[in-house]
Amino acid sequence: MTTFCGKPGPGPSWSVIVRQAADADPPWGIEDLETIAEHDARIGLQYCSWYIDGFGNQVTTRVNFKGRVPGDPYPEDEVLQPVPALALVAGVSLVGTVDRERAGLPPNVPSWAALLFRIVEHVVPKRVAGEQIGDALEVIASDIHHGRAKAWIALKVASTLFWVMVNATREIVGAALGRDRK
Amino acid sequence: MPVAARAALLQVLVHGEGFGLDLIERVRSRTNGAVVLHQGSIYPALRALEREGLVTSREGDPLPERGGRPRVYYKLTALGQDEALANRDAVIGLFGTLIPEVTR
Repeated sequence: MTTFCGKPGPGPSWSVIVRQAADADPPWGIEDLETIAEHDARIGLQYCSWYIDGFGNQVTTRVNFKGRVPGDPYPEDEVLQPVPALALVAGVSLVGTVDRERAGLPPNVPSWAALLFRIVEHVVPKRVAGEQIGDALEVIASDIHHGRAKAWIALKVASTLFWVMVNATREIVGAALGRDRK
Repeated sequence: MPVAARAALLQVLVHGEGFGLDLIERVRSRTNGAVVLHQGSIYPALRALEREGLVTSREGDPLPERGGRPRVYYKLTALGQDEALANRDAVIGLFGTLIPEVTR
């Protein structure tokens, strides 16, 4: 069973919590996210509204909140929809279980960065991705180790993604045209 | 490919094989910052050199700090050695005394 939460009341948004979960070391799993939702509900931050069971059905509210009757609909724009929520949580799970544990991701590289790299890796030539993303990960791990600001790291990730896509496009176009540039 | 990038890469590879990050640092330090390669220039430059038969590449072992991805090492071919030697004067002209190994 997987729980998804909207943001019916005050407190950090669900996307903030997912980001915190992704940055945690080790990353939190689905069970941790459920625990957070329940804990925050107890202290009155008013999170969860509904969850999706194993068969994909939306099930009634299972946690009571201050000032809100279980089952009451929440405003459409306050509730994270199932598909993006699934993508976010699946992303956290993917990074947590595949990259760090199996692929040996450097422990200090943010999971969101690893997730982005992993997505890009599936759409660009293997050699381009492996070489350039690998080099970038080494730089990012070193920058983090030396206390670089988060904004700097984010810029580094963004520039890496940009150049990987540009260089991959060059490779693909060059191969498609059969060009052997000298 | 910019002439400076190409010439600098050939010259630093004379001193042994290297991978992308390593070559960026070697070019930067040996030109005292006169030539700074970055992600947008070094990989296409290395690929171009490889297509020209001046360098060959090999994959190293997968490394944990790279998320299990291998480094790609480049080294000069015999043709590349000749090209580097032939360009030696041009490099001295470009960088003057900024590459000590070249001017010796």
